[in-house]
Amino acid sequence: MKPQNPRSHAPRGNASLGRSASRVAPGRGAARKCVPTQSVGTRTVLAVAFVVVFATISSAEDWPQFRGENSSGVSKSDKPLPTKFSVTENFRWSAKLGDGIGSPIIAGGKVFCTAMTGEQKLGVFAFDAATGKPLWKQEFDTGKLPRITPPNSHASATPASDGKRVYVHFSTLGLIALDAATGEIVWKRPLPVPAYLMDWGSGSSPIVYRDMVIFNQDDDLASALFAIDSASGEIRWKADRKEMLAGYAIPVLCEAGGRTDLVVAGSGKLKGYDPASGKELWHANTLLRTTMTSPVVKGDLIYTAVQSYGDESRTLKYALLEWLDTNQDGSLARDEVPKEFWERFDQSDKDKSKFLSGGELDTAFQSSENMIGGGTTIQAVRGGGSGDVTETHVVFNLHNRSPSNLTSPLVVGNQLFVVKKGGLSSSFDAATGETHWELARIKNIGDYYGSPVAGHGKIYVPGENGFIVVLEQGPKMKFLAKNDIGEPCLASPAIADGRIFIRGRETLFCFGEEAK
Amino acid sequence: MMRILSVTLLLFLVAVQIAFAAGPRVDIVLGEKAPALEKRAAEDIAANLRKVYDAEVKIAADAPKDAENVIFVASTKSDEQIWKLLSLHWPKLSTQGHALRSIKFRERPALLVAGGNPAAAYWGAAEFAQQLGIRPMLYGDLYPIAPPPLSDFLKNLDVLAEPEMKDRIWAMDTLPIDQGSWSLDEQKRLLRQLAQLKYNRLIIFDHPWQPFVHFEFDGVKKKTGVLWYGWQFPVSGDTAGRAAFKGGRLFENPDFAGKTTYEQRLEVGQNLVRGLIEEAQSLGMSVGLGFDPLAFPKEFASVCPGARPLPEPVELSVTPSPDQKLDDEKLLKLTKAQLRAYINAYPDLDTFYFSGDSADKMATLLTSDNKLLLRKDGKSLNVISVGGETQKIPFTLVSDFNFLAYAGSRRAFNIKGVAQGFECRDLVMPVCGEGVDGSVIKALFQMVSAKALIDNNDPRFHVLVPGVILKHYASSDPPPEWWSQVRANYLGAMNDMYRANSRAREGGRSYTLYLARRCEFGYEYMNCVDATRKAGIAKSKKDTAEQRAQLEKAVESMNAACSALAAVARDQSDRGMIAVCNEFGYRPLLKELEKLDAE
Repeated sequence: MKPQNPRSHAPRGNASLGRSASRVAPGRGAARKCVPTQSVGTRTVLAVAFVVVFATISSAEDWPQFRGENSSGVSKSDKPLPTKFSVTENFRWSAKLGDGIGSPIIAGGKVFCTAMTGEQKLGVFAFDAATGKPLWKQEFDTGKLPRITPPNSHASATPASDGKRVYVHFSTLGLIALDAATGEIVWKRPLPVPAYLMDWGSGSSPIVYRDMVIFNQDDDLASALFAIDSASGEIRWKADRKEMLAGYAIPVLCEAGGRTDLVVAGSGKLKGYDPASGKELWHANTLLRTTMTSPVVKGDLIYTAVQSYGDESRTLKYALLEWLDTNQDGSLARDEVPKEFWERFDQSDKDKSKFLSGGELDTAFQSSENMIGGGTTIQAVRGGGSGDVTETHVVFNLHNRSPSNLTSPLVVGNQLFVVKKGGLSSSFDAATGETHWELARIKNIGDYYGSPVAGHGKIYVPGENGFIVVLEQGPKMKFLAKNDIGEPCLASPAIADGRIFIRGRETLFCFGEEAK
Repeated sequence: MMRILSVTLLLFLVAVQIAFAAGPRVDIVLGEKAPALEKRAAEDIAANLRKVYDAEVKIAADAPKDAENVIFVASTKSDEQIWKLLSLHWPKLSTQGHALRSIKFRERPALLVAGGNPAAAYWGAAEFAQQLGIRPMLYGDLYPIAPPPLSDFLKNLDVLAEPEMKDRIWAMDTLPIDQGSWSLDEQKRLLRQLAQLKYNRLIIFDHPWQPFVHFEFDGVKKKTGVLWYGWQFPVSGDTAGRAAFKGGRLFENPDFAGKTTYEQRLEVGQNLVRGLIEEAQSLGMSVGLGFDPLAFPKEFASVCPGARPLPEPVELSVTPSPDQKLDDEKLLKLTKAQLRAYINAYPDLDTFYFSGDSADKMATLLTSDNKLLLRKDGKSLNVISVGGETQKIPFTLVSDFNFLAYAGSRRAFNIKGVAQGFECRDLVMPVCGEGVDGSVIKALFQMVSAKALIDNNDPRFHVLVPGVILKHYASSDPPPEWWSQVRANYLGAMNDMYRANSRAREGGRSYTLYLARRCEFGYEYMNCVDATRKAGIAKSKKDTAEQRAQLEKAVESMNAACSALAAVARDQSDRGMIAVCNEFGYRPLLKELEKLDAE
């Protein structure tokens, strides 16, 4: 379990360059510009370097977490992005990483990504975003890995960065902070290993808010929202979310009503928290049993698009009886649930029959206060409320067949875009919920796990089959291109400085328009 | 001073060695001149003990006096020295019989792994692995999740296995969806697993158009030598389930990659078959070659009396017409020329298996020539007629060859304590844990039901050839009821296998998840067929909207089928299935959809 010496992986001299850069602009890493200072008049060159670094910083676009700024999936840069790309067209660089489905992030001109680099080894990588030059690589022994269900990967979480540090989550390790410049370990914060009744496996990702790392871990055993001091790794606060079932929503921030709320989607409920204390401020009882997608925020509206298997009567019990009741006798024996849940099983086995059935099964693993079922919803909820806002803050709530259970919605301009299995896309007016188009095919049949992103008037939709479809942003569906990266893709693309970064199952690719 | 240092260093090294040997020490005793298969048996036992117990295993001609765990590997062909040690304990065995017997050696418990011949000793080692809980799947071994304590295990074994079925046959055909797409290395791995399962006979079936033998007759030279009727299976671009090909652009047998001429393919083909023969025989198997003695490459039409094309997906072969006399002198000469070419190309072959409707008559005609079947070493090849049976390829969309191979293997021997009908539990429980086998057996029954429905209603329904899907688009008949029954069976089997997979928490999931996905493949395949037929019906009614919707559904289902299989594809047969479904199903459907959009 002992981590390897991070210095052994850092390029020679990189650590000192990092320190030099932090004096100029803490947390920004375009430090290589400082290298020539030894050979010319120091003061002059330092000044030049400062200008260059500053210019780099001021123009550099970051994409610091899953789907970029506030998980929106939208790049605000006006730099052109390629419509067509492949390993032979508009190709900038690629790097073989290893198995993974966490998305790449960009901070201070560096790309960070994770991968399984060995059977029980997690690798964290840093590359120069412009050139693809490897900057550092840090590896961790993971220990015995928990069960997961393919196509999930053990390297499933997307890192987050504030420029100074990179924050990485791994199921058996918890949260880890690494120095963004050198890859050195700054702190480690072990967290409960998430447990999943259906063995889905971990997939939650951290975000950074001010000086905190926020991490939501909704599993089937002990769901909780954590705020961790980004410098020390100490837990600032923890909010229990015991009524939540397993899910993978990323927390988002919503400024409304004169305050900033931390908003987390989960089983049956969208909740707003005070980011300073973790106190729950409001909730809307509008979501569904299983929420794997993440909300997005535009203005003071929080958008969610969720599909949860079955109809509104299908509570967790029915899924348990379908998949865990191995002998199909209509009750669950202790051996039929994973060991991690045996204590909960025993607590729920009120009649001590060694079986869970009927009412026992209803509430054994799903909170009696949150007995929500399945369905579909695309909704907009206004932030800034207090208490139960179900009746007061829901702007629209559409129940159609459009949402995916896996890919998050995209709100760009006035457009709310969703895509699901089969390459079926739908688009709605983000203000009113009116339909632009519904369940139209984007010419790429297959599965969709990575979420769409947008930039420079285009929407990029990553297909699991490795084809990235490009659509024109707008209320009429216009197909622009179908690009092949040649390997499966379950991650969401990242965009920065006119480049699009796509993490295939094994490889990280960077594409950008070639200089004309 | 140096001596003290050296001794210290030596002691340190010994300590390090001991520290590394975390498991128990086991000594395997093997005769100094032990036959190769006995050596292999000992090595397999050693490897398994290392894997399961992290044991420190030594193979030698004797065991140290203080050895605590001793295993003898021997057969009736073993050295005298071994016989002296073991004669008191030797069980009564037939040549194929083998036994595991706990004995006393130097007043301590030991184990005898005995065989009626070296091959049987090797099967004894396989039985040792079996008793340990190791399960030899065709794709590799699965290890027990709760192995017994080693010392107890060695003390209490008394297994005697005598064959109920003396010929345990594995037949290889050469289609893209079976071993015809496997490289020699991959086939060798499979043969090793088959040997673990105590198979003792291998049949390789050849077709006239394949590049495994060359012959000339009456001025005509064989020049057709292709795999899979010469079909090409591109897997780049929009290919459903293409992740299975790991970036490859063309699905092909790896050994034949880049071989563009007849001569190149012939060389590779013959190396492949020779490699198979050598490996199989080294594992104690006899090897036969199966072919139709009256089928010839099409270029021989001019010298084949009464030649007519053989009914095949691509007409690459000829055969005499049914009214042609088989004892025609020219025909016999042609037949003999081909037969001798096989013997010359594969001098170590043991048997010919004649297929085709006239196999019996040809066997009689050809075996009457005493010299015809002589090998270089003076031995004569056996000829066995299997008639037209082999042309009925036991093909199915979804099956579990692992279970079939395992169950066949266990039923082939009369072993005390092995109950007939419990093979599924016996296979699954040690490697997946309790509670899994019930779902697996339910799934297997449903898979068998699906196959029976297809075989009884339309045996060619799932023979994957060009047009296999689009033929349903050309029909306006309503989908037959049995389709939905097949689909329901696959769906039920899939759900049961997913339940089995959920329960197999401690191990063995490579087995359960594969079958769950394979059933999902079958289910989605049936969805595709059903939607294609419904698209055809809508087309006949000129209901374009419904036609498009159903075609889209068909494309999506075939995509889902291939993706489900791609997620667990473990060998060339799986990849072959995906490649074939793309070429004969997915792409033709996409083309129809594009055509409809263009209209």
